[in-house]
Formats: sequence, structure tokens, C-alpha cells
Amino acid sequence: MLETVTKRKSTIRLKTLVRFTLKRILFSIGVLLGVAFVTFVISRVIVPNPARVWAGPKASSETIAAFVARFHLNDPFYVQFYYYLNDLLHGNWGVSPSSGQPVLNSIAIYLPATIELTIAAIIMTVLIGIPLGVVAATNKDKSVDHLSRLFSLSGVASPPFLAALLLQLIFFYYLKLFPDSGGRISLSVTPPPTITGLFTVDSLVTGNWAAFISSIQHLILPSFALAFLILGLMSRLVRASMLEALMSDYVRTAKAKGLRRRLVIYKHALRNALTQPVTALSLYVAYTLGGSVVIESIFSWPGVGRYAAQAAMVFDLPAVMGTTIIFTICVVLANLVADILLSVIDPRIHLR
Amino acid sequence: MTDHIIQVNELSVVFETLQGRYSALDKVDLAINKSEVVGLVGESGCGKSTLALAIMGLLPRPPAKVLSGCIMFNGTNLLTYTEKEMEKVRGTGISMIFQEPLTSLNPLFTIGDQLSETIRIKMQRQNEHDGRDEKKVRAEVVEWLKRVDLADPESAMERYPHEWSGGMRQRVMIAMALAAKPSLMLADEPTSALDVTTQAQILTLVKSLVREVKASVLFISHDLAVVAQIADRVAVMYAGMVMEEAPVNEIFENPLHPYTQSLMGAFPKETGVRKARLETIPGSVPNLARIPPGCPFHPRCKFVKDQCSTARPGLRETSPGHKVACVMYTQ
Amino acid sequence: MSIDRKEIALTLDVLRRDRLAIGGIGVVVLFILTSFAVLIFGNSLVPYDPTVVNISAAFQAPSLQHLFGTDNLGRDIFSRCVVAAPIDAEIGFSIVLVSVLIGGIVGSWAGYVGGRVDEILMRITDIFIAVPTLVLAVAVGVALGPGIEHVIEANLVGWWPVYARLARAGALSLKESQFIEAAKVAGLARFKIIIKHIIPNNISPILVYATLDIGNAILYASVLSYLGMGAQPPQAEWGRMVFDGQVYLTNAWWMSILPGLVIFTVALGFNLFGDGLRDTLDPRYRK
Repeated sequence: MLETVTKRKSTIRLKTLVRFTLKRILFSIGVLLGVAFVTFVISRVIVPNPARVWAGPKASSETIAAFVARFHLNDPFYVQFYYYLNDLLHGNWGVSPSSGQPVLNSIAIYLPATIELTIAAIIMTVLIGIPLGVVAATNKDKSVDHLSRLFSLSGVASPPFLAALLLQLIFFYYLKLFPDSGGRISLSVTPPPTITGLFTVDSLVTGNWAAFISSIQHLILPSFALAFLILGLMSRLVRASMLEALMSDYVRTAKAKGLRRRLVIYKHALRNALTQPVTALSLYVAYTLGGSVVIESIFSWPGVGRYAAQAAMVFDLPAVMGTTIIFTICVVLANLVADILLSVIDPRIHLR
Repeated sequence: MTDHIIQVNELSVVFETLQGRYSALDKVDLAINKSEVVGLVGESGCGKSTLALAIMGLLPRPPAKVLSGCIMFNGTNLLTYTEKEMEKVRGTGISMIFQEPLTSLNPLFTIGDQLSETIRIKMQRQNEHDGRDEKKVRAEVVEWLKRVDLADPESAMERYPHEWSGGMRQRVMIAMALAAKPSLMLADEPTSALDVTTQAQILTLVKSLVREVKASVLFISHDLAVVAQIADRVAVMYAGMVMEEAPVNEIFENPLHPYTQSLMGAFPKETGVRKARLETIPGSVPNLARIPPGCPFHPRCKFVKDQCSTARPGLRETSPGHKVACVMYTQ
Repeated sequence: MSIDRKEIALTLDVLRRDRLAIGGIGVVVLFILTSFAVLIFGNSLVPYDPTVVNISAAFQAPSLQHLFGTDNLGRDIFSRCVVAAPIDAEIGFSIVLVSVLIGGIVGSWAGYVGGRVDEILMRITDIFIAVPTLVLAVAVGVALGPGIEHVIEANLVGWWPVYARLARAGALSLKESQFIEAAKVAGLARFKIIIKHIIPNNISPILVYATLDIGNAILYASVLSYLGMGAQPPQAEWGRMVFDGQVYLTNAWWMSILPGLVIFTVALGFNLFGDGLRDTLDPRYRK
């Protein structure tokens, strides 16, 4: 009897979860359409002479005329937008004048590296930021709290290149703690076969220990440089929501029941406090992707960020636009993941 | 008579804030006997909740500060306990339920989960299975949910607080407070957030359960009618002081303190007139940062005399079991 | 919440106890004063001419003669840093000020009016929040080309939605309050209500956030300048200086690290100031 009751409950919950996810997916598509429109406006409307920009500064007048025809630049805006969308969906994201390569192809090559870096940075942020926030909250106004506040604010106020350069200087040149300086893996080690594109995962899966160690060694500094930028946000948020949770009625009840302090903090307060960082996850991903533009350049990390930085330095618009679009897609996906995660943690959300 | 479960002696508590020092409790004396229900009545802000939180050791300090007094429970002064020692008292020694069950229950955990926490604590402290026997814990959870009249306990266990009504949530809180078999349960306005019908049901439930578990209760309320239904003895508080204390029948038939009388809208027996309807007391509850000297009630009192503004009246016993803090009765 | 004298006194009192915030205010004041000083006195303010090339003095480490050392062209880095101050000040303050204006008005209006307008605003801000602000700024910056005004405009695109959301939230909570009801009954036009009542009462949280935000704006401006947008050589700009010095990191770390530290200090100052301000306005901290 108890079995069927719980089984019925889980199917109901699954159905509402699916419905909820579908709603969020629809919403995300709407956002992506909006972003496509914004990028359209930037690349066609704001740019003073789009054909010249897309064709490159050295193009001949025939090439430019071809561009005008190809991209329907003389047609009314809504027609242009239709073709623009069409191109986007078919993978025609233009050709980068500086590299001569189709934008989407380059992005596809560099994307796994950025994904690996971003995931590593987020993991580090979570592993360092959450304990830091909890410690600050439970030791409010003591020196630990003030120190963590200073550390958090330093991270948030740090220009991305400063942290990256300092880390390189200290760890590569002075302490000589890490081998080589740039790239994802030592030149002497063969990279693992491409399964996910993430060197760490691929080398682990194929049992290539040397590749795994080397890729981890190369991953640590750039991901810490990235994590450092948002650590402060995470730990301050955790601190604030922990403080709110610790002052709540349900924590008072937990204490009144005689529960041990550790249980009160980690089971009752923390779980409630975590709902806010999860909600902010897509924001953290957005900041990480933004920071990757600089961090990847400095660490010679072959990702989309570095691709965009090099393109920006030569005012290569198609490449930068492509980066904007792919990064937005990543943020939207992260948002979906966060929503699903949240509905798992907080039963009030999808049980409606 | 001397079989006290808990005895509060001359307890004074203040709150130090940036805006000033608030005197929440002023030399409060209160004793509760075994298997007794004591009702604590007073308007909001008079210190009733502060007293309960002080007993539980749950006062936020800072800003709260205990100036003087002691709280004797099982032969020791609770005020001398460290936080760790208080943890051991809470739940199995003294437990507490609160006014708003929705915010007092953790929204992220099922009520079965939260109830089993209490039961596990009871088992751990009694060295019974160390609380690790899940089947036993679960069985007791189901049993307690039945005892508080929750239908279909097995599926109720899997529900979350927001899925229940206020009355049901309060039943869960009562179960949580009594499942560890405490000697004393503090109930801070448990029915104030409920409608009248649910109120009556909850009161009946508390009365019968408390008798079964043989626990004493400190029942806090601003509503005299509610207290009348459940209490054996009643204490009346005003501005952090206990003004009158008597068995429940006595206090309703023969209220001595002017404040108690105005609460009940009744005149003293001498005039021979008894008004049935509730009278509003002119004036308002004093700002706890600026309590009037002497008797805190004197600015609003019908029978005020000169000495009322200088001397603070102490609680004196006028007849067996009946104590009053008023100069009228200490001549 | 309107600002009255007692509130200000209490705020200042709590702020005074926050040593970090005091430090932040100090840095911010120094930054603003320096920027004005450079605008007024120009290059005569600094010990060395920031544009003069002097190869024989190149790559000198920081010393009493050259506080921040010299770069690959022999220019005094300290002088260049000082002279670059008003540029980032202008960019940072402009971005935030204009965003507050645009976002504040649009958000207050949408929040107060509600309905369709509000829906549309929410969708629009959703779009801009999904795009990483830095990447968006870089994209618009590349589209517009080099130049300080373009850096400001590029950042504005992604900056205003946050203020629109803040203003909207404030307007929503004020909508139901008593004095708004009174104004409506008095027959005040919707537009007037927004301008006279909603916006002024919304100011505090927006102001606090804006203070913090100027630091962020300066950070973003420095990244765009690092990537080659913004002020062009030989005009000194902090981000640009970091990029130029990067290549010499191992022999002349001061070329890139020190301008980076200057950016960091200024941004930290704004952050400490704004953070302290926010803490003081939190009612819980006053108990």
C-alpha cells in the first residue's frame, strides 16, 4: 500500500517536472530569438557600412557588391532579419575576415576548451565560495568574516588580466610550480582522443594517466583566475542567504527541538540558503564566459574567448558576433539547468 | 505544591539596541508544577514570548541580555548552561511550539523527515538503538501523526509543509514538540493564527495529549477565552512584570489586579456591579524603552494612588494560590 | 523610503564604524580629485611628460626617480597612469549615469503602469541579461570602432537593463502605498506621479548599487581598452598599458602589473564604498 502511494507520487512529480521544463524551454527559445534580433541590429544597423565590415577592409568593390546581394543589405529590415535568422539556423554565421575561416567552424573547434574551462571555474567557485560564505555567516563580524569580505571584494574588483598575469608571474616564473606556460596540455604529451572534447574527461575515460595529469596541471591556474572573479559574488550571496536562514523561524524550531548545531547549520540553514546561488548560476556562467575572453588570451588557452579577443583586436565583427551568439546559448542552457536543479531542491517550485 | 518542574526567579532581561535599551522582563517570578497547564496572558509586547525564549535559551544575545535572576529546572540554573548543555535540554527536557507553523517548519523537507528528527533525538538520548533503526523511527512517526489526528499518516509523511492547512501544520508542530516526551512544553500563541473552529480542535488535542505524555505546559496567549479553556492556573503579565497569578476559576471569578479586571471588563466585587462586555482600557501599552517608574500600569489605572508612581509593587499572596502585585492588596 | 535627516545621521554613524568602507571612500575621492586635477592642469601635473619617448631610460624598475618604473619606450609609467585617470573616470561615470537615467525612467514607468508595457520590458531585460555583458560590449565596440564615446555606448547597451529592473522593483512596491493613492485621488497625471513621487522615493537602492557599479564600469572599460578599443595611442589608458606591457612580463613586470593594480585599487574603492553603504541601509544592521 505504501509502495503504490509513493510510486503514484513520483509519477505525478515527474509529470509536473516535465511540464515545467517544457515551459522553460519555450521561454528560452523566446530569449534566443530576442538575442538574434539584438545581434542582427548590431551587425546590420549600428555598423555604419556592414558590407565593408563583413567583407573586410581589403575587399574589392565586386566582393562588396556580392556581399550586398548575398546578405540582402538593400532590402527592408524585416526581410533582412528573415534571411539573417535563416542563416543562423543553418549554421551560416559568416566568415571571419581576419582568419578567412567560417565563423561557426572555428567556434566549433574552440568551444570544448572553453566549456572545460568554464565548468572547472564553476566547480572551483562552488568548492571555495560556499564554505567561505558559510564560515563568514556563522562567524559574523569576527575577523574571519572581515577577511572573507576583503577577499570576496578583491575578486570582484579585479580586472581579469591582473589576476591572470599575477598568477602566471608567481606560479610559472617565480615558483616554477607548473610546467610550460600555455595551452591545455604539455607539448610533450599527446592529447587524448576526442570523446567529449574535454581533455580531463577524455583522458580519464581512456585511462591515459599522463594526459590527465598534464591537462589538470594546465587547467588549474586559468580556471582559478576565472573563479577568482566570481568567488566573491558566490561567497557574499551564500553569506547573506545563510544569515537570513539562520534568523528564520524554522531554524529557531530546529534549535528548539534540541538538534545539534552542526545539523541546524548544514541541514536546515544551508539547504535553504543554497536556493539563491542556484538561481544565480546562469549569471555566474555569463560572467565566466565574459572573463574567458581575457583569461584565455593570457594563458594561451585555445578557446572561443581567445578567438573573440584576437578578433576584437583587429575589429573582426563576424567572429565577435558569433561568439556573442554561442555564449548566449550557453547562458540560456545554464539557466535551464539551474531551473531544473532548483525545482529538485525546492519542492515548492514544481509542485503546483 | 513544591513539586515544581520549573521555577523562574527574579528574571530580568533587557534588549540593547542602537535605539536604546528595552526592558523586556522585570524581576519575573513564575513556577510551573508537574502535569500542570499554566496560562500566560498579556497584550503583545508584554514579555510573554521573551520569557519562553529565555527559558529555552533561544534569546538572541546580543541584543538580549540577562541582567539577573535564575531559571531552575531539574535542580540546575539553566542560565548557567553553555549552548551545548542547553541543546541536551531542548526537545527531551523542554520543548516549544510557535505561533506561525508555516514559517516554523522547514519548507524544503517533508513533515515526516522533520518529525523523525525529534524521534531520533529522543532515541539517541535514551540510548535506544541510537536512532539508526529506520523502521522503528518511521513507525513512531506514523504513530504520532495518528495521535494528532492526521488522516492517512503514511502519505502525510511524504508531504511538505506548504501542502497542508494551518491547523494540520500546527498538529505536526505539536507532535514534534511532544514526541520526545519533554517534561515541559512551551506554547507561544499556538492558536492565534488559526480560525475559531480549528482553534477549539487544537486546544482539545493539546489538552488530551499533554495528559497522556504527562507534560506540563506554559500556554502563552493574548486571548483570555482561549486560556480559560486549557489552563489550570493563569498568570497575567504587563510590561515585563507578572501582575497577578491564580488558579483559573479564581482569576475569572475574582480578579484582583486592576489590569486583570480591565482585561475581563469586570468591576471589583465591592461595587456589586459586573459588566459582561469587554471594556477598552484607556491609554496604550508603554514603550519598553521608557517604562513608567513604580508600577508600570499606574498611568492607565482607575485606582491609582500616589505611591504607585514611586514604589514597584511586588507579587504578594493574598489567599492560597492567589498572588497580586498591587499596593491595594499589600496593606 | 524618503531620506530624512535622522536616517542620514544613522547611516553616517554606522558607516563610520566600517573601516574598509572609509578606505574605499578615500580611494574614490582621490581618484575623482586626480581626474579633475589632470583635466585642469594637464601634463604639468605629473613629473614626466607621458608622451615623450626616451629609449635610453627604457625598462627601468620602480625607484624613487620613477615610482612605477618606465616602459619599453622610456616613458614614466606613474605619469602615464595619472594622466589616464580622467579617461576611465569619464567612461565609468558616464556609463552608470546614463544607465541610471534611461533604466530608471523606463523601469519606473513600466513598473508603475504594469500590464503589457511591463511584460515587454521584462522580456527585453531577459534578453540582455542572457547575453554576457562583456561580450556584448566587445561586440558593439567592434561594430562602432575605436574611440572613447564608442566604449561608453558599447557598454550602455548591456548596462541599462539592470537599472530598469531595479527601478521597476521599486516602483512595484511603491505602487500600493498610501501617498501614491492620495496623489491619484488628487487627480495627478500618471506621468507626474512617476516623476514626482515614484522616482525620488526609489533613489536609495539605485544610488547604492550605482556607487558599486562605477567600479564595474571602469573594469569593463579597461578590458575594452586592453582589447584595443577606446583611447588610441599615444594617449595613455590603463587597460591599454597592461596589454602593451604584457609581452614584457618576465623582464619588466611593472609595465603591466602596476597599471592593473591601479585599476584594481580604484574598482576596489568603489566596491568597498558601495558595499559599506549597502550594509548601512540594511535595517537588520541597525538593531
